[in-house]
Amino acid sequence: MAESSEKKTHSLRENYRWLMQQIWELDKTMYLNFAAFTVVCALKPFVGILFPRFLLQELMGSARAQTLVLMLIGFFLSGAGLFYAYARLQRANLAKSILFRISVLRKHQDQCLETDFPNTEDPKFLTASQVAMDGLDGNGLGLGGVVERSFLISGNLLAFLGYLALLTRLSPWVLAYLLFNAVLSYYFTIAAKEYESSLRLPFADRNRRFMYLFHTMYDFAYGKELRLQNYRATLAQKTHTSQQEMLNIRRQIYKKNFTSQAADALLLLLREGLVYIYLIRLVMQGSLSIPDFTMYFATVAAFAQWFKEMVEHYAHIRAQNHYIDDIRHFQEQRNNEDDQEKLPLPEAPYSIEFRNVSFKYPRTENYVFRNLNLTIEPGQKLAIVGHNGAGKTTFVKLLCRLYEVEEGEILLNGIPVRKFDREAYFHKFSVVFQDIKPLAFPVAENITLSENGYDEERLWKAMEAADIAEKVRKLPLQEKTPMLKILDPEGVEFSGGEAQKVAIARALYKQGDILIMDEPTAALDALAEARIYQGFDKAVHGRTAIYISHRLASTYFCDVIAMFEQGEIVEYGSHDQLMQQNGKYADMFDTQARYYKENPEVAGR
Amino acid sequence: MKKDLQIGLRFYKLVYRLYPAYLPKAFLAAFLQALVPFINVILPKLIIDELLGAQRASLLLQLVLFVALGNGILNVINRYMTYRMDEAYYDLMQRIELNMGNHIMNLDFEMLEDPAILNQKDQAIFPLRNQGVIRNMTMYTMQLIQYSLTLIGLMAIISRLNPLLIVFILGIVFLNSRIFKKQQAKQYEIFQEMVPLNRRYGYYLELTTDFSAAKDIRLFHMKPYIHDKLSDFHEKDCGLFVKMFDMFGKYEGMSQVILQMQMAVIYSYMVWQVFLKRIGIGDFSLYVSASVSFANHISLLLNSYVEYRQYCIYIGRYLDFEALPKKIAEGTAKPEVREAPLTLEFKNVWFKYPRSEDYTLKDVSLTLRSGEKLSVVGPNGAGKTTFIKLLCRLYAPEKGEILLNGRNIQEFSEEEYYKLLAVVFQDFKLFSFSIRENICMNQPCDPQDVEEALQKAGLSERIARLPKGIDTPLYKNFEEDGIELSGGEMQKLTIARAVYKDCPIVVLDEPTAALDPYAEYEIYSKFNDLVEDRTAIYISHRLSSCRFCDHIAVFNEGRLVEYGTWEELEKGNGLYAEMWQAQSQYYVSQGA
Repeated sequence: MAESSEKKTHSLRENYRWLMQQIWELDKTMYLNFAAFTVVCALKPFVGILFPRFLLQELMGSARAQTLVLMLIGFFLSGAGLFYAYARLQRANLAKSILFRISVLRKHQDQCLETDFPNTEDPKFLTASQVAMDGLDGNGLGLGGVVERSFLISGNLLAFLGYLALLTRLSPWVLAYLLFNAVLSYYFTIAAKEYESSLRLPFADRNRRFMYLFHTMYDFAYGKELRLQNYRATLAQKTHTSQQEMLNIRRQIYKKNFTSQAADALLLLLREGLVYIYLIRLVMQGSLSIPDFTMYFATVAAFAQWFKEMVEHYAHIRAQNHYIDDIRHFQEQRNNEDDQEKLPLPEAPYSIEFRNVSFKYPRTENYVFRNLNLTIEPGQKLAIVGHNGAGKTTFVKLLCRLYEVEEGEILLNGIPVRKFDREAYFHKFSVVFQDIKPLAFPVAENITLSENGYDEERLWKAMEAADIAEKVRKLPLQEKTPMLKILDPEGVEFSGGEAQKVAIARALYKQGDILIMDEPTAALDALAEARIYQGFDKAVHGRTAIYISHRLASTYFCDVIAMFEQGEIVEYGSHDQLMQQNGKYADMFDTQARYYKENPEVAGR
Repeated sequence: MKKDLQIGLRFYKLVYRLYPAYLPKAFLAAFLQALVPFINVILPKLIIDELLGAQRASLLLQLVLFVALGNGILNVINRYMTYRMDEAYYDLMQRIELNMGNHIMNLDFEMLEDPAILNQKDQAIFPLRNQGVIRNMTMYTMQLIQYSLTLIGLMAIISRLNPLLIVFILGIVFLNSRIFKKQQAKQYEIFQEMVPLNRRYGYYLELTTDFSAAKDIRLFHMKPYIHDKLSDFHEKDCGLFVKMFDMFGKYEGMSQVILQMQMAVIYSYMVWQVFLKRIGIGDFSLYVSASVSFANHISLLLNSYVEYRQYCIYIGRYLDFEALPKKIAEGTAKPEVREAPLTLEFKNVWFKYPRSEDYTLKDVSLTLRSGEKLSVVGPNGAGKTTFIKLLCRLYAPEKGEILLNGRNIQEFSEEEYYKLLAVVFQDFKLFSFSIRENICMNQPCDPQDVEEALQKAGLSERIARLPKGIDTPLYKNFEEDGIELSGGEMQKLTIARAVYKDCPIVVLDEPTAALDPYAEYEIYSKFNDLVEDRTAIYISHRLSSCRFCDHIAVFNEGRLVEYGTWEELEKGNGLYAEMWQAQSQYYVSQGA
């Protein structure tokens, strides 16, 4: 049983390195984009800064027509080239960023598909998955946001060197002053982002509640209830209240953003005033020409803007660190690997034995089973009955090895099942669970789980036995008809009972040596139910079969019945034996049969 | 372009309706932002002129202060406006979401079962929630206004030099807009191809990450099958994607080249003017920065427009969905049935679902008297659930009438009519609120009556064991300390809810499907306690439930084929007898 590893948050540096590794692994060419974009972004701003200066210098100096014309052509060519490259790269970067995000999402999906089954029922794991998905969703935040900003930062990094060069020519003191100013500005921005971070959890909590209300309003499935219960206005009211709570938190965040930015603006004011006075003094002293004045004027403005953007990008990336952490944490979880060598599975027929099995779900207190002992003989049909919550479905999960048994053993033909490869073990089972979820693909694919290479004859036999062949024959594309409408409007919606039959057909098609059915006829009417049970008998012939059903009519077909109560088998035997015993099974049977008798004692009439 | 304008207008009409103060705030913010470029365009000219002229220190100082203060104050004001606008936008988003929620809740019910409408809803809602469509729409519209205002100001400055310059610049803009139009058309094409692919993507994502199919995926080795589908999709969609962005890049690149050419021409003209000594250096700086700013803003404007147009598509879908009309007229009468006995009559009712060829109910006539218990049976697809939906006024008959004490039920107001019915649907839903709230819903809550309802449903012990009792929330997605009840327990809770409701008619649709035989028996044996003297309709595949009803109505292929007491029908040779035989044979022959 895999346990989710305890979470420790990585630092921004570590996570950023992980991200770069992922980029290297999933799309090396993105590094080329980084490089190209960096070069273009470094050069681009200087066209607008340097060119006017040279132009002015020439104009105020020799004013040679030829030189001026050459300058203008040079300006056009370099400008056009750089801006064209910038536009192409910008789009290409965005595309790569999105595709990268989708690639990482695929890894996430792979993890979901491969993780040990117990994780899929573990709330901690489910939350970790949801939280990781939040980080992969959309472009501005999370992983997408970090990648985009990375492009922008790499683009701007080289430009810094250019600014550095220019400003040092002017005066190192100016540069120092500007940097000092910029650092202060950085702290203001960080403070605002930290504040926002601190409110993340209370906000997420309210957001979760809001999302529930939102979904309930929007989901058509709630439509009947909301109307019949006259609950619509109340729900709207609850939603409104929830929204107000969230708005209040956001308000606080925006306000804090503003106060830090206002402080930043005043800093800017100071900086601008001082630098411009300095520049003017230089001109008045004669140590700075007008062209140079315009150049530095533009440079200071551009540098301030540049720094502001860099800080913003960095702060944003910092704020996404926890997302990266969540994504990484989820993907790094590993299933418990058992290094022991696996035995090949024996041939059918199979007997299965539960020997002193005790089991409780991870992180729970109560044992579902204590010292359970049960043997299923080869080719036997076993019915499992009992109250809701008696452990029937858990029994099936253990039998299938969706959960592994820690205390006690399950044996297949005398060999502990742990010794077999789990995937190979799964091959032996054909299961129909209670919660049927058809796939939005053709009926044939739902049953055979392959697009093309399936056995047609086997498919139709399975559909006949599941009593769905006739319906499928009448469909527009027969077995190629898609089962839902979500992907193909030409698809057909199957009723609950029909979907159940398709699930049964799937189990029959697989021809697993051990057949397990959990409430297989719950949604079917009386006549359909009868047909199914008759069909089972034929289809199952000779294989081991286990039925879980409330409908005691199904036990008619079985060799033995095990009655579960509170995790124990309280009665075991054939139907006739148990009825003779006159115990709990007989009681349950009589209760259900009561109204089918000729003269029932109908209470209260 | 006209269509986009229309969509914009419709959208802002909606915005105005939901949040009147938003638009004026946004305009003000846009206006204030529009002022920003002017300080750095105009003032350097004055400084340079002075520097080249008298170089009066005090004047220069004043000018510098003007620049710094001007920028500073405007900066602070704009950041303040950003703060208020962020807040206002968030508020607006919430109002829009709530508005949509109310709209959906109040749609004609038939739309909820129409896959086309479901599709329309998904298409309208998905981009709102996932791509910040509303945010971007408002942002780009405000940018359009802001940039336009700036451009007007700049045009005024530039035309002082030579109005022909404006003409030239606008000519370039026109050229660029032709390019944009072509880009749009190409984009739309690709977009159409992408819509079904995106839907597919969303479906795969859900399939792999929502874990509800986890058991099946492992036990049926579905991984390779799903992998293949994912890979196949990846290739197609990602290829398309790259193609689209590449195309964007080319068009945008081209328009950038044209803009640069425009800049070069402007510069050349300025240089020529200086060369001919028609303007001074100060003016040169003024006109150059004005032209550069103008060109930049045109570029920004076009960019915003392109983005705006993209979002118009999504907004259009959203608006269309929001405009779905209510067809079924709302009645206003209040049924007076509190004291008088109640008779429900179906009179020659014919019904078929919208978009369907065949009638689901054919000429159904049935009378239900006050206090009567009716069992409704029939094969799957016979029309039983449709019968209930009509009774619940979720649909209206196409032919024939449904009468309550002689009056057509359509005449009553929805709210008042629903007060008469307590319905337990097969696909019932409970809410993630407290158990007490789920039971009482909108009615006043009497703890004793709640306890009684729980007892009748067989849940009172289970609830008593909970630390918070009836205040325990259900599920974990709203309150974190909620509980997950088992399927059977949920069903019992829904029954308790129906019992609690003080109303004359109770409808139960497969209420014991998830219950074990004991719990089922509990419900059956207490059935009369549960419904007391109310009129009751009971649908179930388990024919044993017919025994405690007064009459049985047998539906088959849309028609009421048999009607009578259990004795009458069981003895007969019809469909009911056949079904009864099929189900009871095991019990009767096997019983002790």
